[in-house]
Amino acid sequence: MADTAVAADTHEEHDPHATSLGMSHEKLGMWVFLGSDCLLFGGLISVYLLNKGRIGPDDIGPDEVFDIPFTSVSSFVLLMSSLTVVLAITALQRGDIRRNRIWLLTTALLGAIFVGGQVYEFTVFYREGLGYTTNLFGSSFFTLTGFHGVHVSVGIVMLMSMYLQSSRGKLGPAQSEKLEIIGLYWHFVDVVWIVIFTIVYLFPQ
Amino acid sequence: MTATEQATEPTGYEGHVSDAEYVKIALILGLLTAIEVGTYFESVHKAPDWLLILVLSTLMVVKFVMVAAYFMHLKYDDAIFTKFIATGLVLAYPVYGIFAFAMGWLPDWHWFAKVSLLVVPPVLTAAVFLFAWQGGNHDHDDAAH
Repeated sequence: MADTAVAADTHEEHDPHATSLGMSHEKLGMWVFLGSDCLLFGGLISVYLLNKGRIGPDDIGPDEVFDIPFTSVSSFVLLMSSLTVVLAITALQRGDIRRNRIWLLTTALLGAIFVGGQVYEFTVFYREGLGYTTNLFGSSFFTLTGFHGVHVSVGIVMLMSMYLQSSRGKLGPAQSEKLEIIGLYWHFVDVVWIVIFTIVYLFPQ
Repeated sequence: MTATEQATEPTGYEGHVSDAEYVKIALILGLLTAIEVGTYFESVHKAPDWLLILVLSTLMVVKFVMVAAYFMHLKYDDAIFTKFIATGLVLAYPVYGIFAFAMGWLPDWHWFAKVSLLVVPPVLTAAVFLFAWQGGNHDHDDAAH
């Protein structure tokens, strides 16, 4: 009997899924990734701040191209997508699969609207004469906001993969941590935009 | 509770904050965004640059903290996640700030405004994240012992 208990304890100690911190490795991994992504965006924002004023007297600068009301609506859309992804997670944890799917699709749709707005904005800027290589402001602006747009697009792909898993019956309350981790990534994309929107668009030029 | 059970158990957004409260938080975030956008209008935009930047930076930090605390669940999750992100932010901000400062950004500002911009945000972030919230889940300490 005692031998059995000892054997069970030994087995538990060698469980490959046990973690010394007592928490999910996947979630910790996502937080470490988000920490490193902070540094990436920090670098891109710093470069933008350094370059935004380095334009010639006849060059196109932020004042000529930014459409603040349009970008404000895009920002609001992305902000609300953070709410819908949280609602998707809580619905899944309650076992409400139907609402989980609705909120997942809504989040992906809001993300797609944001990316669509960014593509439209880039197109307008290009038609107004601001290309990627026009000046340092253009290069650093497109690099920063483009990287963010890629992050949102990757997030949409992850959300749709969750939706597909849910459609095949492979996503239930027991797998809610998967969606929670993708939610962390989505919220991070949102907080990065909070910083970009304020510093790039709203700070006095 | 064993480490394995702790690791595989759903962390549970549900239970700490209700859906209605999440909606309230989103509305507050929307309101803060509206205030931010309000500074773009001509009458407000005539205010001194340093004042606009101070107000916008404060609103930005408040929004950032609200999303991280409630939507990313840092307020209720294990304190180690908070420490990870806070340490990164607090260390990265002055590095990039000093870099931008050294490269000639903020050239015409009063020295106090420049130093404030470098020091205040990371200190506030550190204070809010590391001291006000200790993190909600310390079960792993019990498991470790």
